Amino acid sequence: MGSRIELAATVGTSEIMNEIDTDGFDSFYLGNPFCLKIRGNLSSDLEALKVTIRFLKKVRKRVYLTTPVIPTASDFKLIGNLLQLGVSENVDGVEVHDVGALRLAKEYPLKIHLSVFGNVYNQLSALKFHSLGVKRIVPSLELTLAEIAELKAVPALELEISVHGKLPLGIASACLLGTSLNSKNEKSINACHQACLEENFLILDGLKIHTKGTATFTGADLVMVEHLPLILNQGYRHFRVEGLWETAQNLSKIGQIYKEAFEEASQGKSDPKKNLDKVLEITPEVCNGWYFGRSGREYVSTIKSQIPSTK
Amino acid sequence: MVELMSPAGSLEGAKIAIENGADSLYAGVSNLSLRPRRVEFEKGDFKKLVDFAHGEGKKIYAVLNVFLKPEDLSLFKKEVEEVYQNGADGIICADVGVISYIRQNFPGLPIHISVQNSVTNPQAAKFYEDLGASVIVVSRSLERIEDIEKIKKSVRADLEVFIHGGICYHYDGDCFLSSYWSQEMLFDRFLGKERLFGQNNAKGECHLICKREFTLSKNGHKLSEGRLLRRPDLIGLSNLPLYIEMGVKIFKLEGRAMPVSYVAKATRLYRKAIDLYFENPEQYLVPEEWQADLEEILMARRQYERNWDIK
Repeated sequence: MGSRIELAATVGTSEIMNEIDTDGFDSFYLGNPFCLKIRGNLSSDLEALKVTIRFLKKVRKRVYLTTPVIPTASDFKLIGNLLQLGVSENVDGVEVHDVGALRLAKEYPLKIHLSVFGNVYNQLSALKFHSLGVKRIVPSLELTLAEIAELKAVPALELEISVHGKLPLGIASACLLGTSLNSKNEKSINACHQACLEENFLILDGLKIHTKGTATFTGADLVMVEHLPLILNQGYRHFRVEGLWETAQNLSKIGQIYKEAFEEASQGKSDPKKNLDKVLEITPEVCNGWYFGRSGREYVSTIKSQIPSTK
Repeated sequence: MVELMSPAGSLEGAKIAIENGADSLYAGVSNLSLRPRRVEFEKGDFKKLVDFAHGEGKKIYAVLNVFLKPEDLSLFKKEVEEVYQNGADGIICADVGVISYIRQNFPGLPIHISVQNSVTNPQAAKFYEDLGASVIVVSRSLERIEDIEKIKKSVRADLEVFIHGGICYHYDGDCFLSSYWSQEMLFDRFLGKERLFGQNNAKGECHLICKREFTLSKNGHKLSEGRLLRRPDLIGLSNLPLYIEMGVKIFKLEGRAMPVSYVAKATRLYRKAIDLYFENPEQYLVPEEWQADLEEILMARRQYERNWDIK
């Protein structure tokens, strides 16, 4: 692992990209892999994607493309076009979620990242994926920080750690918002009303979960800002803010907060409470995912006894 | 000929499945098969199961389809050796590291790709064939026959479909709802220490979160409520001829954790269907009088799911 810290954000649409302040981030994953019907999705508008790549290159940001998360045969033409665009625009890598997309991506001279849906839980699979051409992986969400450390047994493989945002809890083949909110008229169900761009929650016994049509996300945001010194001490240098469902304004602020928090932590003068307070102003419900060996919705704090998580 | 594969959650269940027409059985290896311990087999019991199935002229496949946590690697290596020595006819697995390890160390042991891998496209099927799989099961969420047909045409490996049973809201292997909801630290007698239980992919029981009653809300207003994520059970009676004619080799019934009576009824029904098809393929039609049996099977599954409501 190199010594330079990289903070990446996922940005799904051209609308967000046009409004975001890119300063807080070193790199961007472009496109929403969960549904190609989302208005302005950069993964399905290659012209807008090309413009965005060129803009980000100009402001000296690294650019990664992403591919559909669960593709069927008919999606592979688009995946091929995305990969070709990635080559011609000289992007810094492509993220795949599916092993079929990985198999195709290997045919292109692109650095391949494997997402959390690659289900890498152990060093055996990390090693195998590396031998198959994967250069970076996002370890399974369900791993603790201690378990992720085991993956360092494959030294040439970059490990990317999610530090903030809504984490995916699953992907479905049908759009829940389409079937639940639209009328029973078949034409209406098939029409997409972009309900996933609004805040819809599924609630189960008080637990809130974000539903985004075909994808389900955590109700509370993953927030690791107070734990950055711990993560940095473990040697990781590639980090991600999951920004797909965030407003441009909030994403810009989150980028700045984490950028400063990383700078402070790497200089050994971290102020976790100050940083956490700043994040809580933007996102009031927080969790730590699975990093500390608890249920994904829980939040572990070393500095505050009262954190408004969803538990 | 095609093969009807039934679940075996106990030796008694295995006997009943075979009495009702199963050609083969699949059974979980203790601690490594994503089902409750009560329906998994420990070493001695698995050997008895193999001997029984082989005595009846039937095949038996060992299910070892967890994504392994790093601490499970040594247990896995011991268990796979046992499975091989005990004479299993194949091994059903999901973790890419596991698949690779088995192919390298047990070259004669057929590998079946688990439903956990959610194979939805020909490239993914070829990926697993490249790794040495001899049977590939297609995703239970893949609904379009033409998508399954494209996968069949792309590989030499045998194709398997789930022909009947419950179906998850999310794609298999890509769901983290249960572990987001709840994980707990329990003593693991296999490891001789406390460990986390409750992860969907890596360990333990699914809490059937997607079968429960949810409220869908927006800005605090209820939009809809009920079992919003529950998908209708898979019923493959009508599509059976299409699958057989495209070359699907194995038809699997879901339900290792279901009561023995459910396995008996489902096996009997699909045995009758397969036999009816081969008696006169061109005249195959699902008889009206099978509807009562089908209803009983569907009711048994709904009852099983409702048991989770109060947990």
